[in-house]
Amino acid sequence: MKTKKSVVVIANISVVVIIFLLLFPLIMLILNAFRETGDIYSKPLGLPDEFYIGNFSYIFKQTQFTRIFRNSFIIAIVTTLFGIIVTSLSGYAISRFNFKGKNLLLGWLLASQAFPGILLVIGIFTLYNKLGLYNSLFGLVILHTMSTIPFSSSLMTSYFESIPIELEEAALIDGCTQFKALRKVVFPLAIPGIIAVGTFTFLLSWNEFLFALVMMRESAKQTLPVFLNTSFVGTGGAVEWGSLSAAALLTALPPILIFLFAQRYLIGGLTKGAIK
Amino acid sequence: MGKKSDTAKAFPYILPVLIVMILINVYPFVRGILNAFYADKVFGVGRHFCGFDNFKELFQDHIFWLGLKNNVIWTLSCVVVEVILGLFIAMLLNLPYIKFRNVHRTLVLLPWAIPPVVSALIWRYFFGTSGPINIILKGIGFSNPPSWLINPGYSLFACIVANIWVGLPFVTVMLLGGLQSLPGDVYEAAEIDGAGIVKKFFYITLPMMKDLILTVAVLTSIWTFNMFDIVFTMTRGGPGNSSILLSLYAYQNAFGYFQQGYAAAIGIISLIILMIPLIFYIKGRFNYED
Repeated sequence: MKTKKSVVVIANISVVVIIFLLLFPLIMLILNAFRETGDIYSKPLGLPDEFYIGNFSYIFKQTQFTRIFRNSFIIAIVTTLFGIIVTSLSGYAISRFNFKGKNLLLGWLLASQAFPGILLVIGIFTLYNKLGLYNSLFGLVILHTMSTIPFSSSLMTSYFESIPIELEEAALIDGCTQFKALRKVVFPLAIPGIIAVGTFTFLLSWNEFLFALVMMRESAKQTLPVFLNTSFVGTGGAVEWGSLSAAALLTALPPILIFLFAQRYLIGGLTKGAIK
Repeated sequence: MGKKSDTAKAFPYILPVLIVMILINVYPFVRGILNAFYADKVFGVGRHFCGFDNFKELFQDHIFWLGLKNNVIWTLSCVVVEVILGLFIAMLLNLPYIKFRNVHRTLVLLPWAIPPVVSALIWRYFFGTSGPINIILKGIGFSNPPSWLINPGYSLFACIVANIWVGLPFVTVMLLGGLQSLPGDVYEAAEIDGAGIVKKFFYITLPMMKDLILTVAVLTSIWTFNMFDIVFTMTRGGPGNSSILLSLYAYQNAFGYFQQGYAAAIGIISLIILMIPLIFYIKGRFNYED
């Protein structure tokens, strides 16, 4: 059946319009980052008159942005490494072995996705104070690693399940240990899954707000979402939209770039981790 | 491979996850729940066991009821709009003659990747009294648009719009994935039988997508119910608690008034409500694996 040409054109234009509307808030953020606050207040929907970069020099010179950016970066990178290691090991075990308590573990991992963050935060706050992990970057890394486990472990499990067990059985017969078979045979085949888990974990850690808000006492140890929430309010409570937009744009940039780079792996992985 | 040796073999692999989960998830979870049965220090009286007093107090607390009401409005409107809008966009993208479908899919999912706090900031700007939305409203003839974030009647609505923008990408892409895996020949057969767009939607697409739509809706409602970042960044629950959610009220109690027991009680009520979608979700996931 041939579809009418007008229908084809209208449908394609609608898609472009919808996507423009969906991305419009992001476009405004980019534009505002290059305008002065006064200009933003007087013409909310205006375009930049000139390519104004004063907001960026302000946040780099007058605020702790660089330091906070580094905190976020260190935490997200280390969490990503931890997340990949920990969940590819557990995913492998869940896909290959019928161990005792497996259903309990799977059930708990699924259920934990519904736990109100605040309930955990209360318990963790006391625990972290005792362990000396309160107000430490490492403490937040562990918390973010915990947060990524339910989704990422499930994603890795389904990736390993799609890799035929015969491959490692051959390696085992050749005299490999199980761990070596995992490292040399299974792991390389699971690279798409590992990229998906790595991307998901980086985004989760970089974007996370509640734990970072509660667990960091010093402002110098904050992460970007907390910093954005507490800074950029000028005299009289007026928001410094220019510099705030610049900082928000630079905060959104790393996840956007990583997402664009890895989206091919991520989109398949999201379905595996959340639905199947 | 025997069952016992399986457990021994699996142990080293799951050990890291077990350590992290038991220490940072199971233990604080149990701790948090026990906390709800303790009263915190006030006016010189030390922390002590108090049975169900926190819950009794909670049920008398009108801010709790307001938060609960807001949570229901917030969750239902976000999820319903996200699923309907997401299904519409996904179906549009899935039309066979749409060009650059993969590019569109990437762009649709893009807002999902940016920090919710950044999204909330953008929307706080959009909903400003003299912000872009009101400029547009004035332009099309509304001479006196409301101050969305300052007027208690509109603050929750503004937060809901922002959260829909945050949640829509994931829902859309999940549903698109489902549509793409539907068998094409069923549609071809229906077309030969003369079925139109509406009939195909109600008799083929909806029934075949039912399970996926339900799973996505359940998952989204759990996430939305617990969402904290958006409202905290946009209104802090105000003005005058008009946009307070249970997650924010619990946070205020735990870290603003140092009433952790009371906050934990709020968390437990949230968890009890979430048991309904959670059981659906877990059942669905375990069925998928069989």
